[in-house]
Amino acid sequence: MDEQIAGTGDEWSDPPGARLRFFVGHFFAILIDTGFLVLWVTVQWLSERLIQGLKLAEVIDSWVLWTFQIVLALSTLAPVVIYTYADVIVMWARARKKVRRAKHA
Amino acid sequence: MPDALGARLPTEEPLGRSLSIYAKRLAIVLAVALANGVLLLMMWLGVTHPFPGGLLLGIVITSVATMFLWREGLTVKEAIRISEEGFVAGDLAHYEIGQAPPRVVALSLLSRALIREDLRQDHGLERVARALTRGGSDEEGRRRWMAAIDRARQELSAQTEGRDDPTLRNHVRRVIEALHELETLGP
Repeated sequence: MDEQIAGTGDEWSDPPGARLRFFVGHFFAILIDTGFLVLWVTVQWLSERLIQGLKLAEVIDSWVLWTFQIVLALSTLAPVVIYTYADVIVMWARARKKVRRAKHA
Repeated sequence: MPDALGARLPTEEPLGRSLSIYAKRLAIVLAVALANGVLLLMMWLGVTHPFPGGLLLGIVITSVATMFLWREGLTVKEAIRISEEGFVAGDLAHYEIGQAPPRVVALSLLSRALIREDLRQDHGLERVARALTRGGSDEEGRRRWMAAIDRARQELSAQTEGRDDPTLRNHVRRVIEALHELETLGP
């Protein structure tokens, strides 16, 4: 058998190498997803700096830029949330499957 | 640990593929930020140096960016749905080995094997859906069908390994016969 079906075994009973790979995979996935959130914060900070540099005379003009900041925040956060959600769902589905199988074992 | 259905984290893929997935994600985030940067520039130009059609152009850019994000979100949602259905099919087979009619178990195993085979390929979702019912050609369809049957047999063997129960053994034999029958019914 070239492949162990996930969920039929327990990662704690796997060989140490496989166990390490499993947890390292999860750790780096979470770390990289967090990195994307940090990138999002950085983009917001840069846009704030950029907007401060734009000298606008009227109040309504600054309202336009304020609206832009909200649009920028939401639209750049959306892909980050989508991909983090996809990764979390994979982890969640595995955990749910383990619990279901433990119940029926 | 490889997961059923190929529903794996990017970090569990081979390094090249993992880097490619994260590069694509990064490119999308940066592209959205860049599109917003262009929008900001246009808004600033719009209020400081108004030009005809500026507002219209801004609306077009925003609409395209929104549609792109919406489509990306739907793709992820669909992949999750297919993946979860596969998990359910696999679990059904797992619980019903030894209980449900062999043909039901065989079909459950086969459905998961087919879905997993499709997720493993780098096909678009439309192609995946098409491939579930027929292959690109008769030969391709046959190849996929045989691969799924093999996968179902492997999974049956993995899930019943070490369970030394005569009744179960008899049931597994009948599931194998049902899979053999399905093999002859394929494309």
